[in-house]
Amino acid sequence: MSARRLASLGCALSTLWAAQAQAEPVAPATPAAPPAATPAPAGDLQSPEQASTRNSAYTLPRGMWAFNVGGLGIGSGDAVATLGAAYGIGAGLQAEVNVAHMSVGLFNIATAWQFVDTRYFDLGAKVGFWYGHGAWYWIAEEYAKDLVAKLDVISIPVELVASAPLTRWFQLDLTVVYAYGEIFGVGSESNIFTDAQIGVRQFALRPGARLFVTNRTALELSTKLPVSTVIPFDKVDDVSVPFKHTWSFEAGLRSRLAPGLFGSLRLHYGSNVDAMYGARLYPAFELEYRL
Amino acid sequence: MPRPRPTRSLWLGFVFAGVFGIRTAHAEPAPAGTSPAVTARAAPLPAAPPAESSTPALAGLTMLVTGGYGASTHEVRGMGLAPYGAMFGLDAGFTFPFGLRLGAYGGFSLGRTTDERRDPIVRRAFDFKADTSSVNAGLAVGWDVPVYCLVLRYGLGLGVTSMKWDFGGVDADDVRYGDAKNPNVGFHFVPSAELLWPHGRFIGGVGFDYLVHVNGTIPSAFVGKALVGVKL
Repeated sequence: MSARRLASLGCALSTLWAAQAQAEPVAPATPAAPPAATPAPAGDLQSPEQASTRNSAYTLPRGMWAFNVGGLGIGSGDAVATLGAAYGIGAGLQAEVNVAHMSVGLFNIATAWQFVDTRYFDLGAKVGFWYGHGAWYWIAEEYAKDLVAKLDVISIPVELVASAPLTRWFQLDLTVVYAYGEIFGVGSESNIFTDAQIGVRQFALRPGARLFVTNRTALELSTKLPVSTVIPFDKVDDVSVPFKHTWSFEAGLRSRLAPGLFGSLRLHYGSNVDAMYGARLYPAFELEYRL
Repeated sequence: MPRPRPTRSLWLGFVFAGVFGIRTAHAEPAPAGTSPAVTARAAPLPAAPPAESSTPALAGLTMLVTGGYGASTHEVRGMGLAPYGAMFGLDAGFTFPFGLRLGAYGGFSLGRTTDERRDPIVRRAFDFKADTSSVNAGLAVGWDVPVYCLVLRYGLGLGVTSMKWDFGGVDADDVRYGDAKNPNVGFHFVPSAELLWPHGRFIGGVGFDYLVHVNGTIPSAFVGKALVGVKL
């Protein structure tokens, strides 16, 4: 018997023992009572109602709302802070907006569509629209603020995302993303928007894996591997950014804290993290409520 | 554009968290009643989803002693200040039966001395030593999630750090730190994750904190830690 199985058996035995010790006396049988309709048991993190829509092909089921609040994020949709809402429109479509970004001069909306839904392979597409007004980006430090003060940024990321739930405890994801960016105004080509890869023209792959440790906790790993990154600042001679300054990695935990309530904690590593927060390694957290 | 690399001590922090880290078993057969398929995606797959107890084993009051190692994750005004290093602390809190935890924490960090060099434009370059240490305390909210016989604890703390600094005989103005008081006090918040093993009244575990400082003159830090305590 492997050590892993032995540990699990130990856990199971201790749980059983605890449950037995706390068990209440069995109530006398009531033969007249018909079998009541019991509520559906909670699903796992791979069920449609609970699957993560971040870096995956999945979208919210029809009629489901998701509200989230978080901080210190990196990447599309959750950079800086999150105070957002998403809605499952139906037919695999989802719309989302992050109002927290508006407080720092960023505006972004996104929509997602899951158009292949099979047992082992799912495919989805996502399109977003970002607008950043540098003069309103007040959270940057003095020098960084000056660099973006006269800039406006537009970004339109288009993603094709494949998810493969190979087993009930393991899933692979692969995203192919092209982000079209445009920068207007006067300033340096190296500023917080471009260094954080908002406003650049980028073609990237993002492979990821999810290990469902239990039916309510998953370990999520992914890395962004840009094939090409160009800063469209100078229309005559665009600036190409080497791979070593654009790749990034993230590792996180996501759990169902309570029915409908999900928490996640991630660690991000990369140059874009450094540009945004001044450190290559930085945490991000998020709380999501679905109803 | 300067791109500071993580220090060796940052990797030490990782190693501390990693060596004792998450070694979870998985893929146990699901008990009856676990997640019937809702759609094709949730339809039966080759292996049943793992499951765990639904009630955290740490409901109630807990007192924990923490020890660990913290590493700064960025430079401050060109200096690799290290006010963390070996850390010791206390963590107390109450966990409600549904998983929410309210608590308080406090800790002392020995810090360490780093070798620094300043090369001003108008004067000769000079070397100096920066000796820093810190104490921190705050309130935390968290959530306990059962993972088999373990408990995964998410946390988010909000508190204050006080960092003492000493640059030897060098004037703080000469190293661009003259605007900071001594001790230098600032707010922080701390996302954290811990994997705890409750065994009767005993609790042991490992985890990490990430101290994010609002005050830009105090470096943020990654802290790997071990916890030992009791359930009261």
